[in-house]
Amino acid sequence: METKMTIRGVRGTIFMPQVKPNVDVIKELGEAFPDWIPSIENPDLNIRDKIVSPSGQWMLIAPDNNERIVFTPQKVDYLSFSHAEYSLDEMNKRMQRCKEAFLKLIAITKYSVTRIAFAPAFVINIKEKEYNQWIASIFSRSQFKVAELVETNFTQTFYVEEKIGDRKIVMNYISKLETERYVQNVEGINQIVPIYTIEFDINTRTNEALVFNKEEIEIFCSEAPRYGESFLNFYLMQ
Amino acid sequence: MINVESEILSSLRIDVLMQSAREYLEQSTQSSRWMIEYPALKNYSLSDYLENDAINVRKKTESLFHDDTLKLDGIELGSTSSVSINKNNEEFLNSLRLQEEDFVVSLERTDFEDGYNNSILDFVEKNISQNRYTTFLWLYGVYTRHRDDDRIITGLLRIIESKTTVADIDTFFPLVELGLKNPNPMCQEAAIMTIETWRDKQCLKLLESSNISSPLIQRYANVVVLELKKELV
Repeated sequence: METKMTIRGVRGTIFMPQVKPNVDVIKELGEAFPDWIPSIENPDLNIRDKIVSPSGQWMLIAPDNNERIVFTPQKVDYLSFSHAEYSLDEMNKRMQRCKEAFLKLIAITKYSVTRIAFAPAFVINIKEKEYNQWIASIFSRSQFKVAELVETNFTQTFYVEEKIGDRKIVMNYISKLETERYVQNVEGINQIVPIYTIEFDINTRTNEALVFNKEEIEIFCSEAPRYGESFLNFYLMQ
Repeated sequence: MINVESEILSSLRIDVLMQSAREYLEQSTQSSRWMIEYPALKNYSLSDYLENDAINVRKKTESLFHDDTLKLDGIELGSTSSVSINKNNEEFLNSLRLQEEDFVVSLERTDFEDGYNNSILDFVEKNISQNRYTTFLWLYGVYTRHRDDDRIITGLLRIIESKTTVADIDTFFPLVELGLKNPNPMCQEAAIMTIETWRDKQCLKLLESSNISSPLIQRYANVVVLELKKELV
């Protein structure tokens, strides 16, 4: 299928105990991400050892509001929202920032990382008729790399063994296709315009015993755009 | 030491219990998907504490569902999105709450021995391996719901001592603080053991300023304080 894809957003995730907001963490992350603004979503406060800290999630937001690092109780998300035409270089650029954030965090906290994920979202610029034909064609594909299709609540899921560093890790390749409909004024007439999206979630499976070291996270972040591209090619091939 | 297994065995008819355990496991694995997704649910039953046969039944049932499929009705287990993670946590927490009553009864009757695992620790370990955050959240909840029961508090502190690391300090620090303030020497001992495991500066400060009621436990606290001072200060 010859079509243009727009990147809607990219999420990189590592699972680790929550990093509490404190001056040291913000200052050290500030070296790599200058002028980022800390923001607290939940106004509930905890008091421990005479220090008041917010409970729940908090985040660091880029001055242009296009990037965020979100610290939730279980995981840290790096989010990049800026829209751009899809290219491997563009994905590499974003995951490079993500890698920078994660490595910095691991160096500061020394926490164990038990799961890593790469989740890009794209908009498919395609006509409705072509989209319907394409949808019909992808459901006939039941094998990605050497993995068979697994029945889940997502559009498609495959368990694929990938090499991260010296280890072979089973990863979830999950895709979710959705259609969003908006009312838009097209040539003076209000019309319902569909927007076709495809979201991936390529992640290592839940296993608290599995701990990823710094090098493996570095490798995953560098390889993630390629994992994404191979999955995208699976959908876009004729 | 109370022998939990023999005590419960003597009070119950094992054949009736085993039959109901089998029926329960068969029903749960056939009719309800979430039972398959959370092995801890079917693993944890009173029969676990009774005899090996219960473990055999469990193994037989598990072998039928060796593939830990990611599908859960309405829940997206494989996804790492916050929405899916939260939904998953909620379901997991509900499943733990369903077992809380049995857990508390067992916890009350369990004696913890240094360096030895027991069924309670195994149960917690198993749940941690599936969902660490939610298991800890639930343990915190158990603590708040049974804060007047010294045996439960002591048991929970022993679990915390055995299954957490210093990375979990933010979650459990208040519990250790309350354990040290508890007049029961058993609670205080368990809290000191946790501090000894975590080896953290804040905990050292807390221990130094605590009033320990028993001279024996005070001696133990002094040893830990000395050790930590040497290491951290």
